[in-house]
Amino acid sequence: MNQPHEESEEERVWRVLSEAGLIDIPPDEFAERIKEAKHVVIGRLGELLELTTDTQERESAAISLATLRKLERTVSRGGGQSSD
Amino acid sequence: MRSTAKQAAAGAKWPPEEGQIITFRSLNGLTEGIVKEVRWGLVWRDFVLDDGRVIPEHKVVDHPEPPVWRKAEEVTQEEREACEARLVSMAEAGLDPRDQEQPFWAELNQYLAYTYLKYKRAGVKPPGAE
Repeated sequence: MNQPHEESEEERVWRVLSEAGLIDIPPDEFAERIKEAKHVVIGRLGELLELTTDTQERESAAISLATLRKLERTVSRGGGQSSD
Repeated sequence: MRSTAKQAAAGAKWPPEEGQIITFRSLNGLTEGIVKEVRWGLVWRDFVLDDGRVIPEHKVVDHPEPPVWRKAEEVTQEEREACEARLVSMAEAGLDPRDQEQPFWAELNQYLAYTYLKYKRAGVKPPGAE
């Protein structure tokens, strides 16, 4: 009887990234990928806000969210000059 | 032309060194370029070519399978913040991340992959996921 293939950590990570469409993002899908990344960060930030510990990760998540919002504005404008 | 560059051969030392020619998958099919620098991004290695293009390792022909990657925990806060500052700077400079194989495109790809891996580990799923 054949043993089922046990997925290595490397294979698992690449599968996760591939399924999320994040390994080679087509140019017209950046806005959608940024939106999904924001959703993941917001979800984690919500969890962190309920905790009184790990303020560093909370701060990191908040900065990541701010960065993604700036990038989202750029991509949605079509890569033009920022007016911020 | 390119007489001094050597083709990175299958089975040879990996990653290819500066000055070697690599073949990679591009929009126009297989393309060649000369390696100027190999550097780690937040998740995977990028090959910077002498003409400024940035090619992720997994698009290079004969790369190891599965490609090597970094754990999100290995990325320092300073490294992440530097990446975020570069991305915002490139965005504010009016660069378009949709210019494939350019630094903004390469760095944004990695940043989104890193962010997803870093924060997804808590079990949050993207919209539409089961």
